[in-house]
Amino acid sequence: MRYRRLRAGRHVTQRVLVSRRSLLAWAAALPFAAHAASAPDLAPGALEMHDGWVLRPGDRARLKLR
Amino acid sequence: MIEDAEERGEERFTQPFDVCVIGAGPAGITLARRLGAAGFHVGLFEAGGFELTADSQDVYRGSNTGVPAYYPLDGCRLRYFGGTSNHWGGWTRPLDAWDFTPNPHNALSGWPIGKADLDPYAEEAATILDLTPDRPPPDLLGGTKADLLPRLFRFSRPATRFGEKYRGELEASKTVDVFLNANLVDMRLDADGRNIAEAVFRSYRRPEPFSVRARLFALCLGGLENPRALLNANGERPAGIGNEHDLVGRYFLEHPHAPVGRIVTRDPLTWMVVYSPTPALMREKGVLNFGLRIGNFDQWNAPDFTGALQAEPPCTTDFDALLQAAIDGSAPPCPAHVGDVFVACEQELSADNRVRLIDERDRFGLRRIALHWSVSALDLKTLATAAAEVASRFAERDRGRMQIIEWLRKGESPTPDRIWGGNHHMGTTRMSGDARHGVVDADCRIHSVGNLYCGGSSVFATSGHANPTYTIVELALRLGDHLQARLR
Repeated sequence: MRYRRLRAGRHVTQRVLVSRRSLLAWAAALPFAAHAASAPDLAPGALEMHDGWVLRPGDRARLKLR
Repeated sequence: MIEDAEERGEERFTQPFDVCVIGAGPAGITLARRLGAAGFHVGLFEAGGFELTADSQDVYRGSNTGVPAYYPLDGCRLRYFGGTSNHWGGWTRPLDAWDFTPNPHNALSGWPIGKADLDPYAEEAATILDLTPDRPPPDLLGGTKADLLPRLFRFSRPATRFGEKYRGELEASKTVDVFLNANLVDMRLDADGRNIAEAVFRSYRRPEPFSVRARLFALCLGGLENPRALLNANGERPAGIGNEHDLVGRYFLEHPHAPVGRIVTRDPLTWMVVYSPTPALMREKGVLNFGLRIGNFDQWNAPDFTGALQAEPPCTTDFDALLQAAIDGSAPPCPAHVGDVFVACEQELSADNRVRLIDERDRFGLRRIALHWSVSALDLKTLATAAAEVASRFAERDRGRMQIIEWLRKGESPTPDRIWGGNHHMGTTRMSGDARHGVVDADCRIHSVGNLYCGGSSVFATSGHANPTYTIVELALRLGDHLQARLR
């Protein structure tokens, strides 16, 4: 049975480790904020994020955001 | 012809082959066919039989020292005729031209060859792999400020199983002799130590080994087993063959895969859309290459997926209602406008990501391997940048809105359900023009051995973001042409 599963190509979940130092370095480099400030088609800082959604100016007025 | 090494006669291997190809997966079969078609006498040695067996697969067992672990090493590859193509998913695209050039953010990156060296083999590789037709990549962003490039994946459907596809041809071949159940157990150097004199094999049921001589040898055992074979061949060189600079097994590469969000689009999603960065964007953001896919996770994991998404009725719901439903977490009024967003990215070169030998031995007395694999801060930054760049472009151009997955935007730890590998084993005998930085040269020859070559993704100097099989076949065809030139 196990080898039939292998042939079927089922993936096996695996885990990943990063050091705390690496993680902190990465988190500090999270690029969204820097990018939004340099968006080419909009005024600097025009994009905003709400609950992970990257929104345009005016979205907030039209949408019901929690 | 195809023979079973268990049934070999005493005198079967008295005459040398032109080329001894070890491993009958995509690289080995492609290489053997290329050489055989040119009239050279090839011995193609496969450790397994026509079907998967526990005896053969057990040889792949190993351990993972990256904590938490990578896939079980006997579960992420297959050890029988056709090799790992027997459970290949069938996704392909070529490496980008800039994958071959140095990226200043990735030390040691760059190949000693360029994309132009592989392009002559592109069409034949597509034929071998039975790929879906080439076509312009779909694009939902458009615009002239294109620093995100739409890309196309082509699919092998049904996925080509090399053993099944080429068995009949190889059985009928007058130039390629295939030997099943032939397990490589050693490689011996000649008297001056510059060339491989013979490869030593064993079958499962007969204890006595048998030696094979050839003018040239090619290891095509996969990204984990090529280094294992070299490291275990330590009778004359204690560190293993080709390991003068402690590089064999190091720089293991994968493609970190991660769901990074979901998206609501103005245009319906009729085809999986893929975006990759230009070299300028990679430099500006200080990241590696990536392929960000927009589509439907369940659909693109189906074995018959070719890029087209399930057709939906024309949508009558306005965009704000679609977006509001997605923000509220409600069922989408029109599924064609809501997609999963997924990234597979290039991995940073790290000497610590490596294959090494451990004390435990297999049934033939060869030491098993341990694999250490981890993702780096740069890998994670690449994933996050991919999500942020695409989300921003869709909002800027009002072509849709994307939600970036919570763990990524908050910089949380990438747990097993958040990021994984693609079963792509690359880099462990990496290519470099400098023996201090790579195991093989631009011709895929082990720097310190005159007649030993490597085929397969172990020679990748960097990973790019593309699934590797297409490049593996291109490289095997190119290696075949190089070996022909040497033999003439």
